[in-house]
Amino acid sequence: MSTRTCLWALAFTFTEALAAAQGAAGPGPAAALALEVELARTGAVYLLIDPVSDLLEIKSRGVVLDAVPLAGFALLGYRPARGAAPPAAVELPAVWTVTDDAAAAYRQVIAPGELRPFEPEAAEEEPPSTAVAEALPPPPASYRVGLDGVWALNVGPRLPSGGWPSRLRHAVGDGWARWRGRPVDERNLLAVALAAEDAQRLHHLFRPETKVLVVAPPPAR
Amino acid sequence: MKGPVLAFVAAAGALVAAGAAVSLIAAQGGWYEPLPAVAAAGEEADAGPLAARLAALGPRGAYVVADTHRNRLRVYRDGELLRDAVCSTGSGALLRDPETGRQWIFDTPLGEHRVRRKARDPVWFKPDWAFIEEGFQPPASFRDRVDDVSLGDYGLYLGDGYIIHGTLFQTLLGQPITHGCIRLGDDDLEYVYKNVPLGARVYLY
Repeated sequence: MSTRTCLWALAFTFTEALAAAQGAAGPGPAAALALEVELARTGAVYLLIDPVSDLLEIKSRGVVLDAVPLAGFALLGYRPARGAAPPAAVELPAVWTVTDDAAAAYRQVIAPGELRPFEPEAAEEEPPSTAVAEALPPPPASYRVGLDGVWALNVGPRLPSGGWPSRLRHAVGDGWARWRGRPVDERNLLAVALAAEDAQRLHHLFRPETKVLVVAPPPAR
Repeated sequence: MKGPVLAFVAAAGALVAAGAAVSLIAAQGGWYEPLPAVAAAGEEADAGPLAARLAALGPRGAYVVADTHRNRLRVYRDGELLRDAVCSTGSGALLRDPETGRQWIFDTPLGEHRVRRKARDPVWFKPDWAFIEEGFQPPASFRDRVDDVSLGDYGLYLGDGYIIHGTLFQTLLGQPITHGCIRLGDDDLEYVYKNVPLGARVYLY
């Protein structure tokens, strides 16, 4: 086994042991409440990811507008084979800000070729175009949303696997992409597993400046 | 005997070469690994007063909550659900004016709003996009913009041109087809008009 491989293996082992050990020391609810009070002052919609109650809540002014069950939650750091390591740990509770407009790629574009002079009689003869429901594709059930910092929110039916085969597959996939000059997503992940319908429901809420509050996960189970 | 040995050596060589290639490629990549969470630094405060402050920010009396994905509008009073109605919300479409390049996005605005004005038999003064969407140039005459039919019997104005109102197209309720306003059926609109007072909060998500 090469020195590099030994170092990788040590890094995996150390990180996973630390991840298992830290669960015993979660912060109390006051820190999360203090952050939420600041968010609730604005009247904007924000999301609260609560791995303790396994819920993702949609809130405004502290009111739970809706909630969806969390099937899983994980913090995942991107570790390049060569380059800077991910942070050793993440302080929670914490607030992230959405930087993407997730809905932008799914907008229907209405672009008349040319405009003709308005004639009231002609307008009355034609039914308004909004009366016709266009069949838009449903939003995706699996997607990634940019957050501030070097982070992204990964939404999907299951959490990304952290096992050795998956890591190797990922390393080869990224390496191949880089080899071919394609961009590689090196952001750390807040990963949530949701039912497909719930993931679709949330998709339009990810607009720039939407806040995501994550409270501390429960002690390791 | 030579044949199998050669074949074995060739296979082993190919395996080593493939392994080396995969290693080289993987060395350019990366992977995800779990990150531990630790308590944010700082002294732990008393949660009680913070919970009270959070609760104080919430609405009192009647308020409205609308789900723009499922196209449902609910009326609450002090947290109790009073009415659950089918509505229509913004299509999310983008309209582009071919002559000027102006753009409009037909999203229902998310977040907290208030009922700023209520009206019976509301009149709609059609903005430019209402004509451009139909392929017409916006008319110069103000009279051509007046529409006293489309909004139904009542209107609850949320500001910036967004209104909770009625519709001529009741069969399309439940679908995201509006320009950002919230359309309701006749009975539900009357209920909302009569039970949601001026100043009431409206939460759109």
